[in-house]
Amino acid sequence: MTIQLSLHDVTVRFGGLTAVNKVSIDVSKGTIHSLIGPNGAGKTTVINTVTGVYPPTSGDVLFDGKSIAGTPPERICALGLTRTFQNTELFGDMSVADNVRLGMHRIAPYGVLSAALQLPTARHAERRISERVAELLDLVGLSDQRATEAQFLPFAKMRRLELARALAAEPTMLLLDEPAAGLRAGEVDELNGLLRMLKDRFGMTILLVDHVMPVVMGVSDRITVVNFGQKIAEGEPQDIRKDPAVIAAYLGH
Amino acid sequence: MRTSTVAKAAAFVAFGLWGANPVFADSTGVTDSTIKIGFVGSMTGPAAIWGSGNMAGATLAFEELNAAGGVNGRKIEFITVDDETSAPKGIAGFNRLVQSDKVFAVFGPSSSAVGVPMKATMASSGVPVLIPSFSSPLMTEPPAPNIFRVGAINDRMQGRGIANYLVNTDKRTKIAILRQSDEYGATGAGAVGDRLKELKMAPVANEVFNAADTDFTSQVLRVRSANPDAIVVYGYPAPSAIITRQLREVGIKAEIIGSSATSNQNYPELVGKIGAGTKFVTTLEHQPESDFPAIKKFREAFQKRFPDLARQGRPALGDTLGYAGALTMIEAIRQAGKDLTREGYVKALESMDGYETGISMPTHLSATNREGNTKMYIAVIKDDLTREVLPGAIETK
Amino acid sequence: MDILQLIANGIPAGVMYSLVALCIVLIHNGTNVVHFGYGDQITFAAYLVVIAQTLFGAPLWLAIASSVVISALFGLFIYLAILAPIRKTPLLVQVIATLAIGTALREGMRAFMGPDPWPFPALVAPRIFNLSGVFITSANVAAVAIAVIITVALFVFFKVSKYGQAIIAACENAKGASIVGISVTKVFASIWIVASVLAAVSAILMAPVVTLSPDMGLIAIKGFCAAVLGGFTSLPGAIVGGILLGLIETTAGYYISTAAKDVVAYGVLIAVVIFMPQGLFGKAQLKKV
Repeated sequence: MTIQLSLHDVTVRFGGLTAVNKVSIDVSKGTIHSLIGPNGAGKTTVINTVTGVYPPTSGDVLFDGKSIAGTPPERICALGLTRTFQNTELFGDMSVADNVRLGMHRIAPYGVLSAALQLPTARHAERRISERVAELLDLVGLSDQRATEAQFLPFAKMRRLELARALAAEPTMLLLDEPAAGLRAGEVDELNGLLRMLKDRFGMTILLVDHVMPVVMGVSDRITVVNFGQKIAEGEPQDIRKDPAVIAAYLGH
Repeated sequence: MRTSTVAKAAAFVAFGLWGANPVFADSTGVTDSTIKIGFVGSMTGPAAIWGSGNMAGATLAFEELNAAGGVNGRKIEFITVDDETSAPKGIAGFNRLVQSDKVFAVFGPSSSAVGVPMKATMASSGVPVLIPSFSSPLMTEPPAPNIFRVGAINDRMQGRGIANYLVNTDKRTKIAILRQSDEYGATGAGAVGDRLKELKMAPVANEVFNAADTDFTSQVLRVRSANPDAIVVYGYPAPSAIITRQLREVGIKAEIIGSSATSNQNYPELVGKIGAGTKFVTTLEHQPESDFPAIKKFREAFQKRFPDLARQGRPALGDTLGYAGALTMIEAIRQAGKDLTREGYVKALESMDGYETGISMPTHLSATNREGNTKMYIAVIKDDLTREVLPGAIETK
Repeated sequence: MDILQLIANGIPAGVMYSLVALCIVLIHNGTNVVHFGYGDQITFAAYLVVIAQTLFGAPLWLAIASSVVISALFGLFIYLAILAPIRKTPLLVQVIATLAIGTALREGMRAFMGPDPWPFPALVAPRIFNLSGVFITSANVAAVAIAVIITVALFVFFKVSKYGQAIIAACENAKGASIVGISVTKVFASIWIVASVLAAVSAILMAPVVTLSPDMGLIAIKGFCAAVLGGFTSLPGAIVGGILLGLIETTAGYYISTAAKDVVAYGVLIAVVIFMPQGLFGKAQLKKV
């Protein structure tokens, strides 16, 4: 299988603190790959490094075979890799629909002038965008709230909106930072269904960072476990469940 | 140093009349070939309008003197300090000139806002100070033995002069006053009101404005409601220009007269054509742009020496007063003779009775009077935005 | 009839504050920095016109065009060379930096162009219209008209265009914006350019009316007040705040006393800060954990 995202001995240091220490992960195309570990294990640091929030201190990150280490987030987005955030980073003052619309920023075709003058090309583009927004809202089940300001959504729906916004950029790979945290049991099932559909129907590659075991174990093709910034195990869900190092890490030995 | 204890004691007795601050007969800052003169004034900050000119004018006067061989065989060494339009910096600058540079005498400061708070420091130092431009009466009232002013006219006299002019010369009966909210406006406009009272009149309106404001509609409309036949605007050039425009823009036809702060030569253009006919107080019988021979000579020398300033349309009022003040200082030093002491210099200043620089008002000082000039002129902005000084000095008593 | 004259003059006076407030809010929304040097940037742009005319003999249109271009480049310079490199320092450091920029411009102009006020060319021929006893000047009409055009243009830009939306998005949530492919650096740079172009436009409207001197930028203090009245985050709020401040100042001065004008105007401001901390148009901030 083709490797879409590859971390080679990635180390991230903040001053004297080593947050991530020589971690290597290969994420295959069209799979759901989970990254798990106790709090403070370095999971979010890995995601932030991959999406260009900060560069790795050493090591390399390859996306579709090209190094993206130190590339700013907006350029990484243009390469087809986008993400969601643990606490969501939506545009709270804007409507649900506008949030998704902004997700299309890098692919939306029209300019200031043509839009202001309501030229036919702009009108046509605008219609296509509106259709796509409607599709994505339908996919995440937010069609009824398209006009609501994002800040007034319940938290679980903010998560889904952020996912829709990420999908609007037409990525080939998604990084989801704790999408299941705080969800109720029913909502976890919905999320699982959504993630599986993204993989099966759209061939999306997903790197999932989470604590919630029903999600991780339910959807993952492969799991990487980190603790204290180091990789301690990797494999398929059934192997990880039995791995003594993983059990020790989660029990706090 | 030639200063002896005996001389100090003698000076103490001689000047005991002045109170606790005797001027010692010392010759600090004087050598056989040089005299150190200090300048403290505002070269930056809002008061640079006056300070930068005072310094440029004095620099030219001293350079001309030095090129001609100096005064009584001594050349002037000119040491300058910028007070940044801040009183604490002015005080620190003055102390530096006196204590570490050990100057013979000081020229400046250049604005009321800085000068008035500096007065106590200057008075207690005993170092002779010659003020060339600003107009707060507090600098000479009460007089300090070592602080003199020449060339400018103080705001109290100026206010009285304006009232005298409007009532006696122009026969106005309904006078409105618009004044800046600070000490400058309060003193000058207060004097207008006081003099009107003595003349058995009262202003028909008395309005206040801030120097930094940009719209004066409320003041202007209140003045309009009072229906005056003359309006005194006592403030700095920028607000005065806007007010003059706004007075005309709402249809007021009354005579407008501005304080000496508006006597700079680009003021007519600041106001624009609408300001034609506006009058202002000036302490220069001949304006810096005029072709009066002494003025022309000064202007050409100034523009040659300071091409950068010439580009800004200078010399202006502050430059002219700085030059004239420095000439007055040089004359007093000359009169004090070869054996130059601070005491001799002060005595020479006191003995000036009608000394003329040719470009500023004559200086009349005495043992009890530290205000060198008490006369002013009224000038008018003409239709082509040139300025004309109206004949006849105005009484300021 | 005086009330009509008060309104006729209060609105243009307020529009001057609005223009300043607008850009202060724009920069603040984007970069969180209150730009205390903005007033001096306006003064600088006005002097650029005078310099082009008197030193290089340029005709007025060319002088204005070069002022707009240089001002825009200068805004970009402020961002790239000064504020972007220190964007991770405490906010206070950045605010002090803007103060320093302002002081350097002000004193630089004072040294180079002299401390005296400069006459500034009128954009429109000075005329006074008498509407049955209410006098209106052409300069004031021009100021209000151009301010309206700027407001409409900004409104269209932010509401309709994709770039406008991207700027709003980046101002609201830089992290979220960068992840959808918006370059936050470019957005902030463009905010500085837009604000600096508007500084030049304001300068051209303002200088003939309020008199050009190195201290003309002090008008920014009124701009800050207008911005606070309007909530400090809302662009329409900045416009309305400025006009309100202009009207409050003129009417308070006229009906109460000119000496009490500032007491009343700033009393209103303090009351707004106390009783409506969000300003007239501000929104409650979205709290993020």
